[in-house]
Amino acid sequence: MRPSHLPFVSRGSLLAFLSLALFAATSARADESESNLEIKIYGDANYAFSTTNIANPEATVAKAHSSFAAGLLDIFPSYQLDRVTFLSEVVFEGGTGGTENIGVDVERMQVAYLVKDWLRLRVGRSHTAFGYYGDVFHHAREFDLTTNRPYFIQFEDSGGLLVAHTTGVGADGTLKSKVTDVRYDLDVGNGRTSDPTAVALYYSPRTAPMMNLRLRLLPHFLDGLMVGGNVMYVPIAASPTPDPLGVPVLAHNLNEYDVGAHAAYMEHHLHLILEGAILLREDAVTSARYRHYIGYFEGGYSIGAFTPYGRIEGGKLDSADPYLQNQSFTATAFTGSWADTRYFADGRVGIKWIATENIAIKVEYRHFVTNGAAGGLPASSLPSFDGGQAQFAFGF
Amino acid sequence: MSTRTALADTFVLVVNAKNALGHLGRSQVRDAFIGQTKQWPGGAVVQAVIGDSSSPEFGWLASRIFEQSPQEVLGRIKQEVFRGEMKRPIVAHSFDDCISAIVRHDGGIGVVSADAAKNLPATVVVVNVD
Repeated sequence: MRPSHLPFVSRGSLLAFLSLALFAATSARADESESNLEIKIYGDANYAFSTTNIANPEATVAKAHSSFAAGLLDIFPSYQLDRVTFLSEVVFEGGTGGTENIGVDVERMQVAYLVKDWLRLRVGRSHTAFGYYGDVFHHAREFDLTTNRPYFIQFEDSGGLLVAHTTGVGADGTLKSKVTDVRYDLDVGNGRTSDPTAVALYYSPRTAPMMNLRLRLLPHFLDGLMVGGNVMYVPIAASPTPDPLGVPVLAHNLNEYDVGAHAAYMEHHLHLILEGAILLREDAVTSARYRHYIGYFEGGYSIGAFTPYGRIEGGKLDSADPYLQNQSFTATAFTGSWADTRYFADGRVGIKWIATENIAIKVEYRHFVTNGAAGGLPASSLPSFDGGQAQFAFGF
Repeated sequence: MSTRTALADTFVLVVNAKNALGHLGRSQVRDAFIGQTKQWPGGAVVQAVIGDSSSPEFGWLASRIFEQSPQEVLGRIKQEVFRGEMKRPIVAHSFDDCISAIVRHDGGIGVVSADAAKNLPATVVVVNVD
């Protein structure tokens, strides 16, 4: 994943940081049973193949139909003391946008204080509480059922359409009753810049904040069932003219209004998620509106350490949306562009094997189709291709 | 005797006596061990105490409370910690470790064998599961 406004790191500094992290992890393990500070390390390695060319067209004219990929390395420090908890995800990752450099990004950095079971306060950078997948599965792939996130829920620098990270404050809590528990989440943070791959970490691009409310019901008649919905407002700032950083030009401010619904059931060895969202972007000057419809269904059933699974995802996009025009998306060893995309669909089946407490191995086959440019093929060729991926994910 | 009854007779849930809960439903216990409940009604912050994933105590928790395999439950706990939804559980390697942890945490909850529970200190009490 390409870092947002952060420099690439040298090998020396990378090794120094890893040495420090490993030392800290070893130190924490000395009192593993009850230590306030703990550092975990997550990561993954992959092998992918495709019927299309997956070589980076910006780097070579040669073609390749398979590739190894060193995934991300995720350093996860956490601290807890009674009602206060801290966690962070510092991620080292390369590959996005065709670069072979490793970039570093602080993907999460949040401090939370538990006031009551119905009120917990949070500050920092966290994952937006939109839908189900967004803040249940984070950067470490060990916990995902499949090899990767749904395209539209990808992180910003991997082509996600929704706001994945919130820099700001949040509150959440659970209200209990005899019939159902009601869970709420509220996020208030910075809006988006004209660069769809960036996260506004230090400067809010507009005065109006991004606001997100999620409500969930967890009925008692069926343990493990969760049904919820979101409403979210995201201000998107126009580019300066001319753009000094060379990021995509967005002529006018946009106001984004998102509505989402999701349902999940995670009991009796079942893993079922159904999620969808409608994004409405409105040009603040011309009042032109662009609507996007996106959704997926993911299901799996665990038999011992093995979980066969499948996922189908699709989207109908408004190709006139100026915010999509310079936005690409990525999966392992595979990239595409949202520009001029009117629809896309992805179907995949696979199996996840929890080999040990710390290792998950997945093997997956997928079929992808779009009217946009993808896999090194231009939009006019109506890309449709098959591929597969094996993933070795770990967490220590 | 059914397997469930045998398991129920073999292990019991224990909590800090300052946080005497009387009895809990299975779903309430499950919620406490995966961070869905963060605070007990009396105000104490929930602190799960678990055995090693291969221990009989953890096996009982997985089968009796979660009705899942120990691997599935451990994966769920790790995921909830990674999400930031629950405090890291304290891993107790023995009965003494478990009792010691629960004594130190007003909101502690753990699993011990029924035999060992006959000799609990006054600061730890058994919770019945409906």
